[in-house]
Amino acid sequence: MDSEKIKEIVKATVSGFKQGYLIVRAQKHREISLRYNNGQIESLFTGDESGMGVQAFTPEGASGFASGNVLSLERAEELAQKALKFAYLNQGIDCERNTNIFTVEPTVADVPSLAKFSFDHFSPAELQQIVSEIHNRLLTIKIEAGSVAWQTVYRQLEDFWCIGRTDGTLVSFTVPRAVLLHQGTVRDDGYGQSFSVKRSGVDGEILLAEQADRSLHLQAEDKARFIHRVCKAPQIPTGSYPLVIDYGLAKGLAHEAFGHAVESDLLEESVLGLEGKLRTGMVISKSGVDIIDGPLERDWAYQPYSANGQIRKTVAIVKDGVLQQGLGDIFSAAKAGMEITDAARVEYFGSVPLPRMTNIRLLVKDNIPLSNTKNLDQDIKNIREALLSRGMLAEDYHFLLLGYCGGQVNSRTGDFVFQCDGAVNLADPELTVYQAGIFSGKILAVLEAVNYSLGSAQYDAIGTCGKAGQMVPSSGGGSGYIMLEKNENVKIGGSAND
Amino acid sequence: MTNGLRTILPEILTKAQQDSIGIYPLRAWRVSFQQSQMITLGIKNNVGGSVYRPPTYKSSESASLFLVWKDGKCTKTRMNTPAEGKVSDWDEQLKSWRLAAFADPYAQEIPKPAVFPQVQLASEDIYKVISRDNDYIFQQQERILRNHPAGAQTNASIKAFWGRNFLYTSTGIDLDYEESRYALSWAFDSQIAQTFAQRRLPTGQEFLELWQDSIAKYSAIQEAGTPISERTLVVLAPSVVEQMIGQYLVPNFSGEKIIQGQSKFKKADFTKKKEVFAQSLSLEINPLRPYHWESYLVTDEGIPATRTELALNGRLNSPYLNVKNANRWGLVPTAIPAGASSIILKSAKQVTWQQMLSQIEDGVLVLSVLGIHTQNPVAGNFSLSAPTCIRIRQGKLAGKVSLRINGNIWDVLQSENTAYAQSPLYDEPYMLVECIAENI
Repeated sequence: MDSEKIKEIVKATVSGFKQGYLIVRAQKHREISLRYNNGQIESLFTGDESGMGVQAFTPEGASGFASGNVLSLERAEELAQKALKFAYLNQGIDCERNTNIFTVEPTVADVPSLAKFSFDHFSPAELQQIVSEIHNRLLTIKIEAGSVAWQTVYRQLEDFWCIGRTDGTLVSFTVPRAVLLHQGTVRDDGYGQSFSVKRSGVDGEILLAEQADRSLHLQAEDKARFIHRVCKAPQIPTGSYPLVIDYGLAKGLAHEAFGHAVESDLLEESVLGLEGKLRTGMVISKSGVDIIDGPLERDWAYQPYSANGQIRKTVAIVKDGVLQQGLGDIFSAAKAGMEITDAARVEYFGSVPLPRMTNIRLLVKDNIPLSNTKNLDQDIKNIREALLSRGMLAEDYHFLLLGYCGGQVNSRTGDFVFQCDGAVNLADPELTVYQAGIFSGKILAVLEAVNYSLGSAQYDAIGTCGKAGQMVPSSGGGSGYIMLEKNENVKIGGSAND
Repeated sequence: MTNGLRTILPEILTKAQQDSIGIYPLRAWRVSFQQSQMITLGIKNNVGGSVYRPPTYKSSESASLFLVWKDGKCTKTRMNTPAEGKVSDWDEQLKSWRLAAFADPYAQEIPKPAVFPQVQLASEDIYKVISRDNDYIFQQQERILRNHPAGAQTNASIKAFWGRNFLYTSTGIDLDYEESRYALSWAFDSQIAQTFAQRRLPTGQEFLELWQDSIAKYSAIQEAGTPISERTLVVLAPSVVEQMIGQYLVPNFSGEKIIQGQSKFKKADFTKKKEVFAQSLSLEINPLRPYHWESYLVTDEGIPATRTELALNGRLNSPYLNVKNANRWGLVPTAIPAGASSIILKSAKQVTWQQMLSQIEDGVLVLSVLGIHTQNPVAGNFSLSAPTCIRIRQGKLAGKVSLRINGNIWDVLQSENTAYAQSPLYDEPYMLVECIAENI
């Protein structure tokens, strides 16, 4: 079904329904993914799915939701009736009511795809040829000892969304995404560790770029050698240390420690809230530190409009060290004492929207320049030299943490964690490698420790956020490597026995 | 599902298989259809049915196809019921599927019809909840709202699922079966969480015992516990054990990962029945258990459910293998895990939780951990923050502490000092483990 037909169905559903207020979300999803293992294709999958979700409100503000994966006007009308029936059942049990959506101005917009190449530009056979060539080159990588097993995944997706509301809103947009991922598993003498590197964009152009500059291949090669050293390395003794983190970890820090804690639906149980309101004006870091969230064009987590059909704004969560703004949607922003920015996102048409991040970045004004080497070993040496020459290097331990492996937060207790691939002791002229152990901290303390950034900004660290069980693309980065001074509330490690 | 698609698709595929002069001749095919309905209710911060957790109804109808073409190439795809209820041009559709074909010599086999076991997967009670008596699920929500501890911010989710599945293959499998699921979970202050997840409704007694268990734990964390010492015994709660199984055991027993060098284990480790766990420990997948969440009748590929021992008396016994990887290994397909709880830890030295608890003078119960999904499954190391733990003093739960725990899961599973304790409330055991724990 083409986009225009989907828009017609959405428009007709909302305009023809008179018993209550509706938000209708229709989605058409396309996907192709290829997976290679050690020189052989493992899988090629194609998927073509679509459907719609209908959120119905009674005049009193009780809501119900219904979804189905058949896109037709008849089915949409059935879903609307089902959602309204549930809204009234909900009203009957004295649910929480919310009429905020009734006050919003209608929006009409149509945002075209930002892809250079259409979804079908490369045939599956052409994709097999290109990805196979990129993958097979990995097999030439040699490490000092042991072996590396390689897996390559290429995923190309396209989501067309159309959101209609009873007030006449009709917003549609297309979000294309593509990612090339190499995963290596290094094994040597009974030790083993896996890692991954990614390159993302909006279409098959990332494959052509990779063929031309081999940027991801070089990252994979550097990382394989680093992980080989990590495999047999000692663990960092548990403790607090001065740290330098890469931009992927900076994204993880901003995402886990701050992004979730300022989402308007979580303020009642967040340490960055007081009696349900955002603690605006609270000083939480040195001046010169900002945390920004907002969509970036051609980014993995790009979304121009919210799942409720309002434009997605860029937000300064922290500005110059002061907590300034949250990620608020129409339903809970006012209650949480924040502006509607509109942060609502959904995993797919069958999900109920929640306030979520898009691209979140940690920016530090004081920057120490580094030459851009695109070589991990040289980067590490340059960071040590930069700190040493400025008298900023700690005497015994000053760890550089590399490779974000995911994180988690409990906004209520204020605890957050994230994990990295490995660490290097910059204070040691031999640049000894360590297994890192988990990075854990307290939301209210960690940003105090941030003081400098090194090198140039990068915002393309990508991942998937799993808030409330909905898997949504996330991304972000930092204004280069980020320095954190020693702070007792930020720990890393490891084995207490070392 | 539009029965039209369910009827027409096997006909189209059979025709493409039989048409010897066709442009896109098929050698074999498998197609599965699923129709499902689900109702979900939620509580957020002590309020039922908020705009973020309203009552929801979801219906889904989809088809998954696996096609083997005459030249041996394969196509894997998924499709919805078309909007108009039919595909207008099947030749075009077949052409697009053919374009997405790839060479996969090990995957070309389509299983033949077999005797399928009797597995209880569907509860008529759940069907009634979805189709006729929504009141039951609303009453369950109301019960949580009415009885949660005063002062506790309570979140909860209730899901009732009903599905009908059809599996057809060119080899003659023609299967039609129903399944149901019911999941009920709640959390107090985002710290004490409890879950019931089965293919049937909970009995009144089950709900009561789970509720009382969570209330007792919530009560225990209201006081600060004394810091732990080096002598303090560390016990992982069943929910943490389940997460560990999902993060470490499930990926490392995958036949594909093993053969591709992406697992801790090697193929030869299984051939030699290498001893990697304590002798008292066995691991198995058993999809035949009545009404269990992970139980199934048949795999997606058409392999009947069967029990598979992954490790026996501490020795590796079998990876789990789908059709493709069984061909690679030269073995027959096995049971496939359908989630972390699919792998059952069986210890010959298992005691009851009450027995274990009563014997612990100085211990700590780790109720939840942060960051387990970030841990490296191959190395097996874990370094985790555990903000909600309960001290155990003289066999009683006594106050909240927060810990960091460090260790290695392979060492834990190999140690004869690791102890296992079963509770009728949970599928996974409590595990008393040797690891490094420190107060934070």
